[in-house]
Amino acid sequence: MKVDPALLTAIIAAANKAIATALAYDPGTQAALRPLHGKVLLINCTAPELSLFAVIENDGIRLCSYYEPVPNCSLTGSATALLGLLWRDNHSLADSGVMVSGEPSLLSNIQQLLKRLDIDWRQPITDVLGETAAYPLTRILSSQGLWLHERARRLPDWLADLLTEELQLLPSAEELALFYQDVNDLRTDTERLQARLDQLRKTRTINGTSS
Amino acid sequence: MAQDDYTHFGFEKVRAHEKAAKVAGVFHSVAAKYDLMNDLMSGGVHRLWKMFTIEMAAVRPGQTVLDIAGGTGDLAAKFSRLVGPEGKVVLADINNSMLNVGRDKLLDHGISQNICFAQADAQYLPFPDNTFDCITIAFGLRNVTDKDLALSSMLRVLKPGGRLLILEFSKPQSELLAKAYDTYSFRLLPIMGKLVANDSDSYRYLAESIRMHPDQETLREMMVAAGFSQCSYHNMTGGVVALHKGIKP
Repeated sequence: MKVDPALLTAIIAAANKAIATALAYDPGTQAALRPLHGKVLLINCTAPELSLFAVIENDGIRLCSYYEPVPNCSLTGSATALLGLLWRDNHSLADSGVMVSGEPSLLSNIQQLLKRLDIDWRQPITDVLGETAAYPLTRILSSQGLWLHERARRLPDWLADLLTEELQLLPSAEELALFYQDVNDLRTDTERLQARLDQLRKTRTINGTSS
Repeated sequence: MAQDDYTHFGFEKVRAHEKAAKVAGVFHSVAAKYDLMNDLMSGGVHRLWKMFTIEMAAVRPGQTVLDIAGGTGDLAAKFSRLVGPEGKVVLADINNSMLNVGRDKLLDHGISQNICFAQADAQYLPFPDNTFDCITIAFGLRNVTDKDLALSSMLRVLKPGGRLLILEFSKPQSELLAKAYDTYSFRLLPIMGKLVANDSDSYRYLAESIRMHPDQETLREMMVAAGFSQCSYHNMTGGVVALHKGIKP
């Protein structure tokens, strides 16, 4: 079932406004977006049929339903599968119904951005409603937001597992530790061998001089 | 189409050479309240249709865009921002009343650096071959006397690889919606036109001209026949409006 383009345009326009407003209250994330200027993530939803491009422009993100240059990275799956990535306890893509293609490094960068996201929600509410109304409303939103926050908090871990375990593009922390240990062992053995050779050379020289 | 051939002006049959003057009369009458009526008639949804058209145009900085029947400059204003100072937008309309409203509106918003205005007939575009990266025509093609001639003219002035986007009223995809749409078009629109613009006849023409316009597939075939490739269309709001897109090979 294809989403009506007019409806999708309305949803995207609202989402863009929300993203711009949120980023305005998080200058740190805005600054972190600048190196990613020009990168594009395609979210290809198969049911309902719609494509959503997230274009990183300077210090913001713009969503659109059509974008001509080839995206840097694509996620493909049904809406339930894509949304399910946020709620799954299992961070692997196996049996998730979602496929990824393109530059996984963009996913890693987005992972870092999500970790850094720190929006001061009280300020925009205060700007609109005033301090008196904003305080109780913020408390209610905070408690409701904790559940969502937990899911969002897990997303970077999911991405890390994806890159290390699923796609095996990056070594895991354990693999790196083992590698470093092997390098240390090799260095120690080499030093020991060098010392043994020096000892043998010295002994040979002494024996040669004696005889 | 020969000058003595007949064509339609809404549901009325007129000689081909008379249609342009009759259409001109309509738009001279509605020009001053055009934007207000668009918002009222569509409930503001026409802005979403145009936003989608802008996205599908995929215009980039430095490009040259022709907005035909651009009237009051909705699309031209957005294109001006997208093409940037290195690009160029030509706002063309056959009707000088609409063009004046569009020019005044754009100037009032400080948009003038990369826009120029041309009173031009879509059937005989006064531009050299292979000039534009993108051509748009929003809610204008149904008013053109000879649509095939207009499509050929647009093909000529497009650069190879350039794209044509036609945003126009079309045929609703469901019978229920079609019935509701008919009631709305033929009963309510003329009343709104009378109340707001003091002109019910022009809005009756609007409703009639929509019914006489080719449906989605027919227009797509006309674009193919004119020489466009990769012709496709997107239905919006249940097919009430369709956006056709084609590429000049």
